[in-house]
Amino acid sequence: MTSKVGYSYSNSNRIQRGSNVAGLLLGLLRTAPDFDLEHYKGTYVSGGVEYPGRHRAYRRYLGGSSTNPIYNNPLWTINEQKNITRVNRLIMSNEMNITPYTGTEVVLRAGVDTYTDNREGFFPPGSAGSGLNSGAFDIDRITNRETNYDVIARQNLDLGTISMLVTAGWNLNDRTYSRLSSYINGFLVNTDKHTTNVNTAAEASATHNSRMFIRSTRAYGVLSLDALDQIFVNLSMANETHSTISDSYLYPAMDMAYQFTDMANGVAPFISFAKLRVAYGKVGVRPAAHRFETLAESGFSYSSYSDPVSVGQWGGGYRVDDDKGNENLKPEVKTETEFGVDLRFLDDKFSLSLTSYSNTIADMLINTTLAPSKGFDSQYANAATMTNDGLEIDGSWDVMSNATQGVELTFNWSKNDNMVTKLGANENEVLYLGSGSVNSVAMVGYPIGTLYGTGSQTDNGKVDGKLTLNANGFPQITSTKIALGDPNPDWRGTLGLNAQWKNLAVNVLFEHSQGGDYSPRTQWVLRRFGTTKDTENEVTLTKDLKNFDGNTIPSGTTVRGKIENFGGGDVLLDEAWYRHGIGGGFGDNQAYNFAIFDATYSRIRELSMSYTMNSDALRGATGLNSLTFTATGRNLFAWYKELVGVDPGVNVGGIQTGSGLDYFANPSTKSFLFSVTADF
Amino acid sequence: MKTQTKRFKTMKHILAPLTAIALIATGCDVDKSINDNPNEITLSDVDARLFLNGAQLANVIVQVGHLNRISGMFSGQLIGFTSLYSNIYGYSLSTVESNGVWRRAYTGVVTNARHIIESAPDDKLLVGIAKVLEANAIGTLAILMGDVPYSEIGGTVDPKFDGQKSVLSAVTSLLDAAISDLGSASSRKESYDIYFGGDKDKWIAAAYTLKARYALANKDYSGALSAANSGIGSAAGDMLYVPRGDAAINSGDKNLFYTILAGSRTGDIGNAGSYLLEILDPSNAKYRGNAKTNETARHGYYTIDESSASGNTGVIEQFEPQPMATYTENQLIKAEASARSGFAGGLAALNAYRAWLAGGGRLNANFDVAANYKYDPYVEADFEAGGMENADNISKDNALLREIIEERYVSGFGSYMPFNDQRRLRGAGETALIPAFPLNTAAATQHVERIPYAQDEISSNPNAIDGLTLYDKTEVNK
Repeated sequence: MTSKVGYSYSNSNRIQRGSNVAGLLLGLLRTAPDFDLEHYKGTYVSGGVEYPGRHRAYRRYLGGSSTNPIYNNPLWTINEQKNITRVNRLIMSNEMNITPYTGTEVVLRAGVDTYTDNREGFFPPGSAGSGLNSGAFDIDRITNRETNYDVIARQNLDLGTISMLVTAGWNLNDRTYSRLSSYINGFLVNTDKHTTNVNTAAEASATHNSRMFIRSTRAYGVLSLDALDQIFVNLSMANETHSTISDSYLYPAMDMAYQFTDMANGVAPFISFAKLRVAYGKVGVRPAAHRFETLAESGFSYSSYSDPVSVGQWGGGYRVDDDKGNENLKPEVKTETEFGVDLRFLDDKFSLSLTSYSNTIADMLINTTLAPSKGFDSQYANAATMTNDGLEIDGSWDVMSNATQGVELTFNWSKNDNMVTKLGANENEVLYLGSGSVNSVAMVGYPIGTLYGTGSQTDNGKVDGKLTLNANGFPQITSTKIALGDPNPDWRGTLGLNAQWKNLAVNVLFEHSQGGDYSPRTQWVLRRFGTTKDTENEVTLTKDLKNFDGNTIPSGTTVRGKIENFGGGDVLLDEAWYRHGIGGGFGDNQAYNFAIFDATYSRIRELSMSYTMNSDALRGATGLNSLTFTATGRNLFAWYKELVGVDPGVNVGGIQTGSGLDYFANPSTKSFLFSVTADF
Repeated sequence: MKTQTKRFKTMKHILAPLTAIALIATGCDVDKSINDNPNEITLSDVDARLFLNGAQLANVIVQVGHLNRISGMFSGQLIGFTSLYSNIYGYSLSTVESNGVWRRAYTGVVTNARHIIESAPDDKLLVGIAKVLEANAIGTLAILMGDVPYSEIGGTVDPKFDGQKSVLSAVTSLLDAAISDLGSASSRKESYDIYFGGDKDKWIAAAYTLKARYALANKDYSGALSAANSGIGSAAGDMLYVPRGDAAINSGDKNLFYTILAGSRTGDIGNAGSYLLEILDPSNAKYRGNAKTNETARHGYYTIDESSASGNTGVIEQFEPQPMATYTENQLIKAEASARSGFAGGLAALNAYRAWLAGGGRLNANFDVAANYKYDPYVEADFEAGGMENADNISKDNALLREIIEERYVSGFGSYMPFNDQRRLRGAGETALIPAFPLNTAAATQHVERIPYAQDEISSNPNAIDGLTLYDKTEVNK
């Protein structure tokens, strides 16, 4: 019997990111590059009265009579705002192994994983944003407890040339989550103390809680067969019951492998290992909790464009939840078939492995967007089907190895073709996976993650059509959003090198991603602020040209911008285009077809070097067996086909189904790690 | 034999734990009540009246939110200076901008109004209010956009788009039903009615003003006059969005225009340099004032400082109400509709309105300085050829109508009235009556005729009408 207990405590103070006026990059990049950010906080004096603690930013360069800086000075974001997370986590597991008879094993396991996550967000008065400007302090207490019980029985059966392992198991999982949030908006006192005493007026505070309960059980059986050490078969069946589904579900799975080294070796002597693999299986994803009923919702707010009204500030009150309930939820089921072959050659000096898979994900659980005229905004439903077909190849070459030296090369290549084949009730349905004016969506007939937004009118209504220009030769925006690009790469690959020479080891991992699109809206928006290369350029006209507003700019004029020909003759792209037209700026009324770029990149993902000291002198002096020093650099070098903006590899929403969206996202970090490992 | 025994023994070994597991598995079915939502309240447990303020706030977004501001930019009233509002101002407007208002109308107003009616069918005050809200929200969409879903909404099938005229007629009938319900109800203090606090008479008057609005949109001038005669008779009965709450809080319960400028949108939208301010500015050549009219106060009150929300003390000051259906609109419907059937009636109605303006009208305390405004009554001679309101010698009747329309244009600031009027008059071939606000860019060749449908409806409802442009007239204006 074994018991393990682990406790961890972590705390962090995270910077506000992304599309956020109180965040780091919006304030940094939307400020004139030559503005001195240094003194971000100071005393504003007007009419002999001193106002201390005023926020000084580019648009309020004196601290100003108004406390609204519009965008934060990034130093204010870093130093004055706090976004603290403190997590206490306890993980405990107990396992008991009983062997009542030889060949029989019973395992009993019980575990608990519980944590408390304390979060505090503190925005002193003067932070940007209408909801934060007069000061905001929010506290969240999240508790989560997950308990898990397993009973597993295994039986070995030896039937001569066939050996068999029978496993039967049962699992119970129970999760309880609770979140309690409180919020103070509007401080009476300008202080940096994190206390609700900054304003105790009842109307300045709000409180909110939410809970979640999930329980599931799983009973399963696995039969594993090994015949003649050549044929390996696993058959399994699982029955799952979840609190979030009405009925229980059965998932079958099977895999088979045939090791035919001897046969292959007989035909081609250079083959030292050969194996064929076939697998078929179904796996399910349970629906989210508490989605059966349509209920009364409170605490909501309505907004049409940065103009919210919140029911909480109007005496509370309710609405029929705009997310319609669904009592017919089923699990989302992925059915996959896979074929593979593993080969090794010349005494295992070379290895090659190929895997081809094909899967269908049916009854995908998604938040469908309902036509508002049906009375609801959305409904969580089993509404989509998606297919994936892929191929993965990996291999290695053991170039040389002996007691003191070794060189190994590895490679990996993969491609995946994805297609959304069904979505909701009608074929025009669009499911938003990210956020922003260019979004990443699911649409029938397109791969998942397709980039979607307003574009330019074309003769065929598609992004690759011929532009339909207006009388002045400028593109015109589409009235509805269209598919703009596909963020999924054509293929990805890595090349690795591991080399060792005496006590020195080197490890290099090179990565390449071919194809795929991304949408660098950071750069697109910054055109409106005039801080991009496009808007810096100066051009002197040699003939009269029209700009986007239809004004004629006379020959000889020097303007910022450039001359462009969209197919209807030369036109001038100047402030009218970049700043308040459809060629730069915010929102959904932009020609975003010009904001799609090739995301192809290569990078050295990791480069590390280590040196091990294990001399007798060291052992004698320190008593250690060995001492290893390692230096690692991650993401040190990168090459981009079309680098515009921050980094094609980042996604503003972080890791989510949507991808290819760059909107003031923090770029991928370069990092250096140094470590020392001592072996006693 | 020996082997068989051994196998049997093995089977026995395996059977014991398997049986035990099977027993546990069958005995522990998961209790489905775990999935009952612990956070939200069952609909039937909530009093119908508690749905009222939410539906009213949704209607606020429909009436004085984003589309209202966009309509102002297409009527010479507002200017989009930078960012999103500047490209909309340049007529680059996609269907996405209509999502917010469209959703709030259908899911925010109608779904909840109908829930109120279903759950408290005998509470005629609530039922009547709910019907007025639905008629207000859907009527607004129909006037702005043309054909919209109505007769089949709220079900499981994809609703068809009903003709604009039939929708206006349906919501007019709904207003009649509301008037009848409210007539049989009693007023009571109702704190969740954030428009009128449960005053049924104010609701009845507002319903009549909305009827008048819809009749006017249809150019049914006699119908409009007859409804307006029972409509909002004084500013005390105005249906307004009245901000409230703590002055330290900039959003959630404040003037919506103020809220926009108080956040990151500072500087994006305002009205400095707009045609509206030009005609109110005594120092501008286009000034509309005359010996009987001084617009100094109104000019000051209407001027928006887009560079700082807190710098505003006038029409978008954080506690300044925003109009949804008002005495102003009602009285000026009377004025226009009367003027179309006779000069004297029109003049009397206009002068009645000017008398109200002369008492301060809509001005707030910061601008209600009597020396800065004057609205003396007009007389017939003022509209005769060569009169102070007829320098270009048009007919007396048209001169009066033109003045009334201009007054509607000025007084309607912050409502959809200026946008609706110009499209109606253009449709009727009465372009000479429309205030001469210019196009926003040199590249534009015509004025906007409609607000686009919502992208969300187009992509989720196969019956949605797609492919219309900003310049396609709606049915009533054809």
